[in-house]
Amino acid sequence: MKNKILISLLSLICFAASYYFFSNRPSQHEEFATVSFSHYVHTKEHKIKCVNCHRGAETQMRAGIPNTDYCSMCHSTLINPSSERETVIYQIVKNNKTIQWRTYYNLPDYVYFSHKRHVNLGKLDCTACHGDMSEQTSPELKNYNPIEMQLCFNCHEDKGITTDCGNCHH
Amino acid sequence: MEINRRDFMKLIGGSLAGLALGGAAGAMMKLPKSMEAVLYSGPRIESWKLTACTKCPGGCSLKVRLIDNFPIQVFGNPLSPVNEGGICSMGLASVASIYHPSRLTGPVKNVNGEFVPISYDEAYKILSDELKKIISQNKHDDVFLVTQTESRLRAGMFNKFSEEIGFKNLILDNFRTASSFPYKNISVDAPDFIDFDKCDYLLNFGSQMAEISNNPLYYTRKINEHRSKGFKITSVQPKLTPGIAKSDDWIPLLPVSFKDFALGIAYVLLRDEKYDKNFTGKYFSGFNDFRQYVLDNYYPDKAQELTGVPSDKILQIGREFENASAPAAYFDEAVLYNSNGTQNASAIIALNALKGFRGFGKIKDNFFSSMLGKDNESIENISFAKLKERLSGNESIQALIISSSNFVFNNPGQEALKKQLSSIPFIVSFSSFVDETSSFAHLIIPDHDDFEKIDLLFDESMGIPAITIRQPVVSQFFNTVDTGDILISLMKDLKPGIKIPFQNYSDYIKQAANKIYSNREGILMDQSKPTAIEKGLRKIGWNTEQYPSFDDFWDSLLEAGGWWNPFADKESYNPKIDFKQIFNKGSLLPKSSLYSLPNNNLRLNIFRKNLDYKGSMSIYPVLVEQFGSNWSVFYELWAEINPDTARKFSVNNRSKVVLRTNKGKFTAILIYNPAVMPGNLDVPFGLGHVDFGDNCGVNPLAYSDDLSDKQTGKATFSETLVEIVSASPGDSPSSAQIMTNENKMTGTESRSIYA
Amino acid sequence: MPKYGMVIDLNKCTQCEACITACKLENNVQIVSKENAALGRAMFWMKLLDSNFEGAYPDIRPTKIPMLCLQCDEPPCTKVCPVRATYKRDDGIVAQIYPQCIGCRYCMANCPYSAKTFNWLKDEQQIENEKCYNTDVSVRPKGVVEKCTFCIHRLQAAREKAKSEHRKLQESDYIPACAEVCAAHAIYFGDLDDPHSQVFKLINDYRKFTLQEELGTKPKVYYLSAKAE
Repeated sequence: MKNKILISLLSLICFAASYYFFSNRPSQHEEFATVSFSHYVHTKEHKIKCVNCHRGAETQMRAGIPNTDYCSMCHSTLINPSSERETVIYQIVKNNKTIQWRTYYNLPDYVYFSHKRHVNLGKLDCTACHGDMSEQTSPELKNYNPIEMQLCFNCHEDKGITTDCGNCHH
Repeated sequence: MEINRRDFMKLIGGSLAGLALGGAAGAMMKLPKSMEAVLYSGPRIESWKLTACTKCPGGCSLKVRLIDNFPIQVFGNPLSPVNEGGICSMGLASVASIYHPSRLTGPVKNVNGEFVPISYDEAYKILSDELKKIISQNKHDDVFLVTQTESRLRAGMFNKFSEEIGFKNLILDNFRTASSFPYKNISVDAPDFIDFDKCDYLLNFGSQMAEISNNPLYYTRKINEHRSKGFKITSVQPKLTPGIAKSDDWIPLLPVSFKDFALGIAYVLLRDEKYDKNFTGKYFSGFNDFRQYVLDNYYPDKAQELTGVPSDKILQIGREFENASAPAAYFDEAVLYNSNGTQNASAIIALNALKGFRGFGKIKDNFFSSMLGKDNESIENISFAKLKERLSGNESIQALIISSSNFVFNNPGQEALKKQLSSIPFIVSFSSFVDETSSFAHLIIPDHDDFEKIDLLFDESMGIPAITIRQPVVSQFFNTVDTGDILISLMKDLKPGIKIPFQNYSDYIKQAANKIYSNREGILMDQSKPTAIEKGLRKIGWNTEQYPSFDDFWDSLLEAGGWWNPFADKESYNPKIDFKQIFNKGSLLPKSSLYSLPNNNLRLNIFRKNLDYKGSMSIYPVLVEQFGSNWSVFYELWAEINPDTARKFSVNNRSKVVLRTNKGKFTAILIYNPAVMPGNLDVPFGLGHVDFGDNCGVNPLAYSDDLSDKQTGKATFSETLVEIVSASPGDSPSSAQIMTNENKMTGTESRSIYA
Repeated sequence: MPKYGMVIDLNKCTQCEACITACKLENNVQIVSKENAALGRAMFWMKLLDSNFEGAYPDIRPTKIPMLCLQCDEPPCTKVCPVRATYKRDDGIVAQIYPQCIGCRYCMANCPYSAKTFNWLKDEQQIENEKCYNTDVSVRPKGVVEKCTFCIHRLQAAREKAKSEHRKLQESDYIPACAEVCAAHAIYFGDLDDPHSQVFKLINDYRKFTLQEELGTKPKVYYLSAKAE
């Protein structure tokens, strides 16, 4: 019995180790890197608007997250050498690595959501769905403001917009 | 701790599972590393680019939809006069080849049967050293170049290369060249196009015009227009393919008898004396001999005996042909798919000559030839027959250079071909994949994918100059090199001090475009047609288009996707025909033995579907699945048979049969189709790749007799005899009736599709 | 509200099958493996209906009808769906909602045209095809019924575009993939209620017929076919 448990445990460890080492993890690529982003610093302190970085919010279906080329507009010089996170980002920008952002608001494949339609035509503010991101100093482990269909439905019904299924699910 | 074998296996199993899952979880699609990053947080921005297609000679203009600069979908360019927004299945599926996992990412060398990647410099050095060696030994005649590219400028580059270096054996085997061969054979220029403005009767010999031809999408529109004007089309073919199903008359005839039928029609014209006496007097030398020959030998009853077509039908078609003011008896490459293909074509040319070629035309001042310049005027292009002859002869070939050609797959006698290829000391291929032909290569330097190349495409079928531009929609993914650039570098290396007016292939294309820059009559494809005033102004030399320099014109041309001249003048086509060159007054051949089928034999009739041209379909999974969907047969070869014939052999619908020819046995699914010539077994061509793309089905050419047209080397498609060895039960006889859909249509009248 | 319909001119159609390929590629329809195809599980939203032959050899001619979901005005499929995964929208398109579908296939049984397909088994798709997936359309999971929706994703995109340019939706903005690629210009698409549209004029053509008219499904895809003189 003891042998059985030992073997199963060992097998599990082997499995986990193989998966970890042999999977093509993004961070394994030399170009990818991770950084802890602070919305507070960028929005409250430096007064950057949402749309300035998430450039697709008014014109595209997806708002998008900027790549390192965009960050280099400000971070190509070391602004605050004492901050550890700033050194990290400076190094990333200097070496032209790609940041592998962990995205929270990834809708499933069967949902069609267009930022352009809601922000540009519907005149919605970002906080209506995403909440107030300006207080966040480092990324949360879980989704800050989970998007569920009920959220969409409530707003659509309140504002008298069609709730036809086929408009979003195709 | 003791471990027994079972527990040890569990351990290994666990690790392997982790390995597999981990590997699978992270498996990235075949993309260059720099592009994988974009996949993660791409903003999904859509953009559109224009390019052109070379899957067939038509040169349709495409608009490519890119998402985050990856080509995702392809549609037709609605502003292009060639396809007017339409596109065929091959074009739609073509974008998948960029991402194909088997695509070669760089030059490879054959080391003991395996292809090992090497750097481009190394590959180029091997190629140039080998050619230098051959040149130093003065063995220019032992080098063969084969290309089947549909791009005429690319073919022109091969032409220039061969001319400069002194290689005489260039095989330029694309559709237009092959279709023009019968004319070259009797030393005349080929006509450029069928003049649909004048033509009021179309007699089509063997061409699948709306499916695989010089310009299928253009012909699709023109055939519909032709019929809506009330004019007739007669098709003489062994199979009623969808492309010709709109014909008013279908003459089921084996290609071996095309000549007899054509001369039978000529008899009617000659006897009724309704031929163009003016033309025959001026341009047809030896006409009286020809007239006598036909009147003696091709009276309707004799023609019926030779061809099997009833004599009253021959008379009917003959009367229609002679009463038309500008009939056209049309053929293209497909007429050559028979061992007497060139003879058949010669007879059809003679038939046309009787009516003065009024249904045909030539583009004024040889517009395209003058645009291509001297490079494309015929070098003595030899045909594929010469390569076959040389391969099977005693003199050896020192080097074989292959580009855009998979001739091992597209020809019968494959065992012999493969053996002959393995004995050639140096074969280099520019193919992007390791297909049946390039697997024999010692060196493969892959060309760019179709969406990474630059080129200039045109086709004369429209009757007016129309040029579409192919441009890279995406910068090259891998370490591929444009074949044209390699040829230019080779020219400079092998012939030091040579003066070439262009630096690379892109330059060469620009110089060709420069010739239309000065032609003020044409318009870019995204411009509206000039009004009458503008036309007049241009004619007297005013320049209503302002392009300060060629570079501005070039940028606008790339943006527009092409250029054309909608009001170009046309010329009539008046070739000088020589009777002796068409026919040696030899003995009349008896009726082909293909008609009297011995015992249990049927005729294997190979046909093409428009999903496959030159055997390249197998790298596109969507086309392979759709290939037989019409008959609900998937990933398998099927054979269509006339139900009356099938009943004689007691085989049921949809039974799996084993067929046997001289070359071996293969299986197929038998399909009842009442529109099949009795005695024929129609099988499609396109399946049967083994190590290239989707491996399914059977290649019927591998089981065909090794017969081909003597002059051009084109494989015969309908001269092999086949017998049914065994058959599975299939559907029961009562369900063997073709399901009629009358209950699905309204009312009791059945409606037919031709107006 | 527009009422979207289609007219297919069989006298122009040359059965080149480009519409079939276009529909498959536009809507990410799965390519099935050989085993599944042999079991009859091939998935084609648009197909060429089996041949009906007229005339005697050699004047015999096959009739092949490109068939898609006919988007009936009285759809039999919507009446039996237990979860309202398929229903008729105000603009006439019969929608198919994949997350809602439970895969009971009652709608498939009720459709007289067999216009719906069921995703039996998720075959692994070839990489070169996966990479070319149309990002506008979802990829259906196993166990869900799917069918032609007149490329409704294109309608959404067109409406968005028109609104952002502050204009009305025009006929040329929205066209399904099959109608766009037809080389013979045999497929017409538009608003059946708009007297200026081409389809409105064509449905009054003497050649028109619909499939199985007697069942009263009122399909919105009309066919034009004339007899030989």
